[in-house]
Amino acid sequence: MKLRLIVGITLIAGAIAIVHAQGRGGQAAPPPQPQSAQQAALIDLTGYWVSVVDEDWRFRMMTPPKGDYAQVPLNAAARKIADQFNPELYGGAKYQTSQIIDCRAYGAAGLMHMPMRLHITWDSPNALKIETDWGLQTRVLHFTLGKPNGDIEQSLRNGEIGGGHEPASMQGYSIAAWEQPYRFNQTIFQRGVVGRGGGLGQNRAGEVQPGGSLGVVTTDLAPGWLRRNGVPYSSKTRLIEHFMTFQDPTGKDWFTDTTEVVDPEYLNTPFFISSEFQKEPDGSKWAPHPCKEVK
Amino acid sequence: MRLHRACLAVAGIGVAALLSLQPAIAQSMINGYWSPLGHQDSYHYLAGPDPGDFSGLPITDAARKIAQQYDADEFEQPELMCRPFMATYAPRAISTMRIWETTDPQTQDQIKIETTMAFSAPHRTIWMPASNHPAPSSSAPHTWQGYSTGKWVGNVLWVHTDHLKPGYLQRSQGLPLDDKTTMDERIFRYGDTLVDIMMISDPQYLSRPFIYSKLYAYIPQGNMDPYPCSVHNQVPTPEGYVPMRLPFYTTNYNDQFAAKGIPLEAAKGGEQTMFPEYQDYLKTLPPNPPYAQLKAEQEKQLEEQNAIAQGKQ
Repeated sequence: MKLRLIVGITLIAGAIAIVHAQGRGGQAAPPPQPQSAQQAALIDLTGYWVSVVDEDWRFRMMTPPKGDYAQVPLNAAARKIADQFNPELYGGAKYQTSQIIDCRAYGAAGLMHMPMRLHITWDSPNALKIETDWGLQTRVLHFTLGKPNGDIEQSLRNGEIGGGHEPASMQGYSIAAWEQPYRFNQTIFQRGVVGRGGGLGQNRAGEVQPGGSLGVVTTDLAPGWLRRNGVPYSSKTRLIEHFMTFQDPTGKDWFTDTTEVVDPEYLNTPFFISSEFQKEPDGSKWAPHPCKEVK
Repeated sequence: MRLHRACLAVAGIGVAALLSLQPAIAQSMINGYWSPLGHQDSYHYLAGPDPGDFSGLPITDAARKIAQQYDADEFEQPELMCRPFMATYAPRAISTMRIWETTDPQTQDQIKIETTMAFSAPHRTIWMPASNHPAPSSSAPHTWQGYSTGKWVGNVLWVHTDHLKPGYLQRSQGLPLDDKTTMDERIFRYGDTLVDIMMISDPQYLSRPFIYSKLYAYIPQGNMDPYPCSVHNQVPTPEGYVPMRLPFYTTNYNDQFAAKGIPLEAAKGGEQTMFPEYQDYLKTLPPNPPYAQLKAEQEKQLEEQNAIAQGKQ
């Protein structure tokens, strides 16, 4: 009796393993067509968005006083450069509120913290485009063909992604991947009310979870500013971002962009900031404001 | 017997094959010690923001009026000296945070998640899951940490908090929050970075939810000193003295506020100051008067107020 039971279990386990292998692209089944990033999107970032500035107001809505680098882990070389900021080029005595803003403040490492509206669209099935009204900038986030999902930070650590894609520019070159939510296994600590107990076959391993985020790594950057008063970042800067959507208690849609700026030339430690954007119904409030090119 | 062993071995291989075919898995663990990343708004959350600087805050006129009567000496009142940071403020403070969970030993289900901070030791309990913990009645006690319930949605912890005592939006500024305040949070992590998005709603003193994201870095070897607090009268004041300003006086700006160059109009705050188009309006504002002039006017106000308080007018 016991022997029959063991043989039975063995056959069932083997059959399930074969079916599972086929389902995951085994030789018996034709390889599935790779999904585009647009098809695989875990969150919807498209549309018009407005930055809502209730953090760092005095650094974002106006130009802070010359020499005010509070909160940025700058080294001595960077402070020397920041001290060369010339208010005369940006409105003289009224430079703090003139809104004459240097284009370097709209470089990728500082861009998303600037007050502005965004228009996000699919430039192609594997490229997400972000346009800004203030500063008139365009970022393109490139997904790897056939690999829309991934762990962007792990890829960075493994040396699978990095610089050298194209000449340095204000927005650099961005590689993106959808970050899937974690999956359950037998020891996972996120627990729900279904499927508990029962042993093999009844655990929640691999169960798909709601949500997800977008990971982006940006390199190939031209030197720019972290703040409107000339706080610099170098061409060696690497930017790591995570975009996550959420709803507020009134039902409005938002996303947050968590940003880590790594600059071995001018920062003593990575610089972390986050920026929140609220969705708008249309582009009726889109208001282009060019920035000032200063050589 | 041999057949029996062989079958066991094959069964083992089958089971191993099944397990190895599962997709890569990871854990979203928020337990542990977290150090606040002070790269945004840290000035506001260290010693507290400058008096009267409400720029970027969606406050109502009623909140502004109350804040104008505020005197930061209230922190010297014995009954408020050991007040812990309330739930709507503590995660924004520049202080180490510890998070730990309690699980059911039989089912391994989370029963509660608790948090505390190094400074002022606010101890908060988030009951899990929310569906097992119906909201308490409206007459249930309101506390500094309120009543929090949570649930996991994917790898994001959703938390709702209500039953809070009346408190403040920012420390040392007098901006009030009333006892109908609620807070919704989304807590998640990327690698060693923890993100807490706080959405504070107060129909009385906020015209729209105040939405704030706080970032923390994981500390593998974390620890936390005790925070003993005892009441001492550090600033001698007459018995029964209540620090406040009379309603018809305006906020006293300090020299640090003046050095930042924030226009006085913008410093009044309100939700209009939060949007990009306010940058165009900022261009039209006149420059602030010199601080010496501002200070002289404020000192005159204070003298008048003191005279009234002492019954000389």
